[in-house]
Amino acid sequence: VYNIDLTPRRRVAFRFPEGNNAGVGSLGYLAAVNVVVWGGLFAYLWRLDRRLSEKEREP
Amino acid sequence: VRVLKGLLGVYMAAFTGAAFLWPEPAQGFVGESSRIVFFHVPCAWTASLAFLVAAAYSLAYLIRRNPRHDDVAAAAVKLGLLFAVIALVTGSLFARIMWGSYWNWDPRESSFLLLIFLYGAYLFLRNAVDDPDRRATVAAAYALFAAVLMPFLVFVAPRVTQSLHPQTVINPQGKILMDTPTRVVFFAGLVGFSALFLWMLSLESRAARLRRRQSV
Repeated sequence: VYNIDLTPRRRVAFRFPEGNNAGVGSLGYLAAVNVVVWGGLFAYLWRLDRRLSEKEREP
Repeated sequence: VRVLKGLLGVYMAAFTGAAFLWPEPAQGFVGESSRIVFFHVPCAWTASLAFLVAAAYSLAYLIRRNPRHDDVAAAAVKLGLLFAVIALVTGSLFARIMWGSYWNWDPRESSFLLLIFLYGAYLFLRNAVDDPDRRATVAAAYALFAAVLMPFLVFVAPRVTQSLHPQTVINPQGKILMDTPTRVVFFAGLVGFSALFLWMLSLESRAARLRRRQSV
């Protein structure tokens, strides 16, 4: 059983163990992917909201 | 309301930036992997919230027989499943980093997978019944049955068994073991994801109402 808490420790470089998760690069890459995903989601929801409002106004 | 939705976008952008840049990595985690907690836990929380909303609206439907309540309940289950799958996927990524395998048959992984099957069956059940009134009644009864099992799968089963899963916020010590930046970002995530869920729930319910209006 791991006994882990979320108190901070010193900042370390983002590096996975050798040969493990070789496809994932850096924190900046992950942040960029997140921003793109969130941006896309919000644009989609905003557009959907507007289209629903238009449909609801139709008699 | 439009302003609030716009503010939610700004809030979530700020939250995402803060999640990557503000708190220090946590003890006992490989590299920066602890940051996944800012997305993984709010998704699991939002899934639970969605299933509770589904139960409340299902009960309301059984009492008042208002089809709008059924629309909201079905929308809540769909969104709950979406957030539950994201929680499971982010949890699997974390498991790969920390424990070397995407899937470890850990009690929390297994109980969450069961939860997804439980609510996945709700959607199959809805699709299996053609008559709208009967479908809504059967689905509402099933959602209430699932809601009885849900707290056991999410909150009880993983706590009464040995688990690889890191300590939860509601832990045996009764203390939130986070420093201030981690705590602020973590709870901001819970609020943001809940607000996002409410917006998506409103959209899906409105879409369902329109579909029903067009089919009449």
